[in-house]
Amino acid sequence: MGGGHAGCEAAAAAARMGAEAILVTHKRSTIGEMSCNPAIGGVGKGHLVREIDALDGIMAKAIDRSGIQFRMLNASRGPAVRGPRAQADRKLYKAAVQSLLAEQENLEIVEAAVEDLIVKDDRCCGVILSSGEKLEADAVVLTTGTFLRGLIHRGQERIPAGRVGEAPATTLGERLEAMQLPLGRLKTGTPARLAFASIAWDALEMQPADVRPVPFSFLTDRIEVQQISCGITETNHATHRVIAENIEKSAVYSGAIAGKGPRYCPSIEDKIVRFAEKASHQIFLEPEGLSDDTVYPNGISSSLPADVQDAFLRTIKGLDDVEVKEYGYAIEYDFVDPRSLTKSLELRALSGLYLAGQINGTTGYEEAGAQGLVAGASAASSSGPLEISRSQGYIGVLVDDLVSRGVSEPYRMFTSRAEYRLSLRADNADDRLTPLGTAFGLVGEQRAEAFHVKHSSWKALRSWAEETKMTPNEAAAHGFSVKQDGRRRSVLDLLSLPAVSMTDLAKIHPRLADLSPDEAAKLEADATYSGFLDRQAEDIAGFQKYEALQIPTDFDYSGLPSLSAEVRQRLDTTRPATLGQASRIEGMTPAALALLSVALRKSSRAA
Amino acid sequence: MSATIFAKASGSGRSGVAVYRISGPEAGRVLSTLTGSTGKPRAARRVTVRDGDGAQVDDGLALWFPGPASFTGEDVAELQLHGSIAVERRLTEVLTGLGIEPAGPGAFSMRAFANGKMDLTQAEGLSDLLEAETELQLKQALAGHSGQLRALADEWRGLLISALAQLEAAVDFPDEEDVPAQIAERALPLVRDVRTALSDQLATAARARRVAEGVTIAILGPPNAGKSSLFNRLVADERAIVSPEEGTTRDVVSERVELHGHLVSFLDTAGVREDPSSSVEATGIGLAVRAAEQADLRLLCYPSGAGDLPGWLQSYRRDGDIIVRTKSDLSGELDGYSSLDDQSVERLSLQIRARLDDLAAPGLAASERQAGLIRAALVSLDGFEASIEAAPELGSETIRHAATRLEELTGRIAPDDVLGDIFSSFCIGK
Repeated sequence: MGGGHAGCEAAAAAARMGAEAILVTHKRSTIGEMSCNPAIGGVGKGHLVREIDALDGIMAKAIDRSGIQFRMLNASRGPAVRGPRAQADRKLYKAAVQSLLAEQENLEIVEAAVEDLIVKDDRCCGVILSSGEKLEADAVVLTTGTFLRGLIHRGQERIPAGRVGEAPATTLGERLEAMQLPLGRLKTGTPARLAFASIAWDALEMQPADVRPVPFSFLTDRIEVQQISCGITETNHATHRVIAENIEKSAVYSGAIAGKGPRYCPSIEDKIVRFAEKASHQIFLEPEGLSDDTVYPNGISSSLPADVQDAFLRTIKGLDDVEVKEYGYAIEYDFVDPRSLTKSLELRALSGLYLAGQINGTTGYEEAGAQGLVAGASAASSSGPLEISRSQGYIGVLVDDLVSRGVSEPYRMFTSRAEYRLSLRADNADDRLTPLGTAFGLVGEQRAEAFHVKHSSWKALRSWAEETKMTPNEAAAHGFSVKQDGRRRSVLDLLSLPAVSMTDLAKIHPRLADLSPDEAAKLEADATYSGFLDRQAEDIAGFQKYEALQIPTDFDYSGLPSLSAEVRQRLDTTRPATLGQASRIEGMTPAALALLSVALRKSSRAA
Repeated sequence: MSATIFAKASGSGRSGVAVYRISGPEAGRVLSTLTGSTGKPRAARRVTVRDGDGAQVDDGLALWFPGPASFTGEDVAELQLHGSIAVERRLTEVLTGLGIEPAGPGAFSMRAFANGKMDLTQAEGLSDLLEAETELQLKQALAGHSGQLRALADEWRGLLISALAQLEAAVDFPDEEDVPAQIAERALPLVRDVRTALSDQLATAARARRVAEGVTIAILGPPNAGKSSLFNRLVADERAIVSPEEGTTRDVVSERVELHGHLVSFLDTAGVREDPSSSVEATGIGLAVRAAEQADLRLLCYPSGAGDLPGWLQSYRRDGDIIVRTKSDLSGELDGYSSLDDQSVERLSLQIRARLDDLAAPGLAASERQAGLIRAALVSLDGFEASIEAAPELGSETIRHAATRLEELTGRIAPDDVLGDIFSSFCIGK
């Protein structure tokens, strides 16, 4: 239920699993809509998109068909933290998603509003549409985004809504409220949209796309969409003065909003209040499409009244005569505490009902899509849920963080959330997840085959790079400074030296000039991170030991001597599936874990 | 509901007074059943202890500590009764009958740890406190138990987390205005500060460890140099067998004594010479040399009046070692040493004392577990600059690794075998 990014991945994943999937949405034409920033990927987020693709999802393919500015973020850093990002042509992206869904077998799209859930014997087994029609199902995935009691704030204006121009899903919200699920309230914001022709582009610094765009999907050979540049401008003293003088008119600062906003994606009001010492803040002016005259000004989301938005925008270089097509706003919405979900994102309180996306307290298309995929695949599976561990992928980190730790602000993925970051890279997402997805029945034949071919060629390259060696004399002759210690060094050894680049080595070994971006990144990672990767492998082995200790779903914490009441309550709220998950619950003490581990070993011996 | 546990907190066997401790949610109910009421919190009260049928068990004092302001953080009751074996047996029967379980070793401390009343280093300090024999050990254990190492570890970890935050912000927000290179430079001084603090701590930890485990002093010299007589004077005991025959001491004999407030192990060793007469003697010499090399301090003995110390004996000498010219009663040398001359024994003892104060001083991180984790954190941070140069994100890895070691130090992260090891070393009632 819901045609956003979580809903699309959920429906497509369930259909790939062979289930008869129905995607119910208010409006067929808004499927695949990018309601905020028209961009996919980034550092951490880009990792998620590649993992969705490794599991045969649709997001990467859609952005490859619609990206108008591909950039590899952190290109100067190592492969683990490089994040692919692309700005999308919103119309092309939507069209791509809709056509990918249309191509998908076993998937039907129904345009309707959902009134209620069908619940029989404590199990969710379908939905009732506002027409009164009933859709029976083995499982329901709810991906209603900010529609749960969504409330838009702009200055003093209050509009109950999901997105501008769409009706909020309040009846369903009441239904969930009646179930007494633990709900919380969050907020997020969006900036004004600007008219392309009203911007003085000539006055601005421009940021071009990468010369060689790297596709998101492992199945895309080349990006064929025309690439464009973005404008860069910044706020100044005059901007800050206008905002400061009108700060009490901001919905955020007038005390009207109770929900918590993201610290890392603050509104311009927040930036000016909290970072008063900064003289300016950067703004990216991102065109929303090739044939679209809308521009998204990234970095200045605002809930000030329309006239103040006009006033502060016009103080900014390049925006002197700017025309606003739609004003920015803040939106408040309910989310369900994700600690009430299992690792397959199924509600513990009502089996058969899965939640994915913003309703679980996350922000971002990529986070939503990843959850949709997990929920859809698990809901359609007859052999248990799709489980991805923290050591296997960012999707695992995302789900585990949500269900173990809950959220206190809109949750966004960062690479720093992944403790095994060096191993979980965008370049090896397919190595990590495609075999797992294939075994689960989630990956189609075409991808499985492509992976097989790619993987064999990588293994051959890897052995070649290990076995092809040169003496210190030879290395010196090529201009590499190495110790004259008589040790023969492999291509990998040489690549690990900070002073030696892939380009240098390609002059000696021409095959290195023709590597795909993924192969080059993988070689570089194995060279640069060697040692660190070995240590990480040890850490992962230790981690898996704890993950392997299962806690029975009906485990009785009250039978545990010396657990403090507080810890017991946290364990009861979260009901961790493994001892490893228990260790990540906030406020867990090591002694409590030790007690739990002893009790688990005892009970497994007794069984 | 956690179980309520009890144990005798004072030593085993007969005594004037025995202290019984009861901890857990049932402690209040049990105290009321035994003595009629819980009484005022934290006030001693004269009580008659009776079983459920009203029969008297004993009389004594009762104390009531409602949680969380108690040793374990739970409700705790304490009874001070007569220290007889019959009372202990009867009270155990009564408590067991009330559903109270006997506590295992370290169970009370484990609960205090579980409830956040102390961290791992404080628990270790408590364990050291219970085992302290010398005044210096007591001082050191009290510092650990009061949380001084915990405070330092938390401070270091805080600095590392700040450094990490700087680096991670640069990684996760590449499009923000701050230049990544600048951010790495902001992290570096923090890392350097922690590095300096860790290596200073390790330098004092070696001395602290000698307070906890004692200083080892080996007595080394040629056969019949009077080593065993010296040993006996120093340990003030007739422990070693003395005889004028060469090579009497074939094994390493050791004795632990308290000397000037330090715990000291003296090692008496076989006489060393270059041409042993038998393989048994050769083995003894091998043992002597190894013991001398591993000791913290060596007393190199050579008879006075026998000329300069031979080169082979000199070769065992390290900075700070003490040369003892023995048998001065025979040679008549004034500044020599004789086991028969009390003044010369006193002179040597003062010389040893000066060395002991250098070698051992109370400090933190005295245990191998603690020092080992600090060392591991330091080793990781030593690689910070090189790893940053290889790839900026590797700098984060070294910091993360070091921070994890400090978390293990305080027990924020602790594998259960480590915990089991620490708490099982406690006696039952603690």
